[in-house]
Amino acid sequence: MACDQLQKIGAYLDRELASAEREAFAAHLKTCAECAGEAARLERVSKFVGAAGWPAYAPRVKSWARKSQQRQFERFAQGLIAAALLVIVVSAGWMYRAQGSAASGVGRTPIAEAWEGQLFGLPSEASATADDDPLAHALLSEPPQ
Amino acid sequence: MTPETADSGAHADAPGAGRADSDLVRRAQAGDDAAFDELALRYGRELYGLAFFLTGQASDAEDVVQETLLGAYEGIRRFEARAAVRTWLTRILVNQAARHHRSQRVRKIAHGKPLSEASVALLSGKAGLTPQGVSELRLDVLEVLQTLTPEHREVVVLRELDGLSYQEIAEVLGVPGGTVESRLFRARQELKDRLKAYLE
Repeated sequence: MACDQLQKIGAYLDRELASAEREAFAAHLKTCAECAGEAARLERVSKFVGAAGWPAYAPRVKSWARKSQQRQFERFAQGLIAAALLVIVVSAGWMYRAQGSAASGVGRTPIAEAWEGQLFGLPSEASATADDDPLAHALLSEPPQ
Repeated sequence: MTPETADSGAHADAPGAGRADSDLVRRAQAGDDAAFDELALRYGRELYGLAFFLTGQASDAEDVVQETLLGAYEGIRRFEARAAVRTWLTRILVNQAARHHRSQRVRKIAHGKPLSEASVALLSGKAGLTPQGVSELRLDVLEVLQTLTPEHREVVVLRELDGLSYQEIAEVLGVPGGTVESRLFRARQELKDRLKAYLE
């Protein structure tokens, strides 16, 4: 059966036990072969990992203020590009829809028609009445036989 | 980033450390960019080392350090001088490394790849480490650490390589001290399993 003190080995090796607990555990290690063997193995593992040390480091950035300003500018430029792309996409969509509507004559609003009339000199449906068309006027004014 | 509440700077009384961390922080908060550059230089190697073992790649480590120091520069005014600069920077770095890890595809790790002679000698307790063996051993440690879960890797690196106390690790990770102890226990069991062939 595993010793119930095994979990304390790490804290003991790390010197994280309070002094009284540490002394008690040191005494336990002298009598418990299981804990003593586990402590020796964990100590070797710790030594192995700790021996790696830090690798050499040559910082590329010398001025963090400049780097931060550069990053803020990059973020601003990215935001600007994203906004410009959005405007282009929305405009393209609007133009595509407007072209489709112009071709089919469906879905044009009175305001759009009025603008078209102003721009191209065409009467809009909103303003056109039977009075503008003599034939329509004749047909509409004749009572049915 | 939340304001810190720990004790004074780690380098406050370190011999040969030059100006105390707290002094550099005060100056940086007042807009002295050179003071922040000095702090970055002081902790740069430690941060890079941590990032190297947490990410497993030198190029990723460089990116993580850069994000960490930029974040620290932009957040220096919110930093409370009662805190330890080292703990504050380490916390930012661990968060950045975790974010980086989530954004990367998980690398395939060569489980069971044989260790170098230097590592085998050290693990078996038959010989010490020669200066020539350090770089080989470092790569072995790097590979072995990458086989751990990110949570386990964090506590092992912070404890075994950075030498932080349980209390400091708890502050960096934002978890209770008891969690640090139990996480370290499980991480070491996992490490021991990976290395059992060399520990007999």
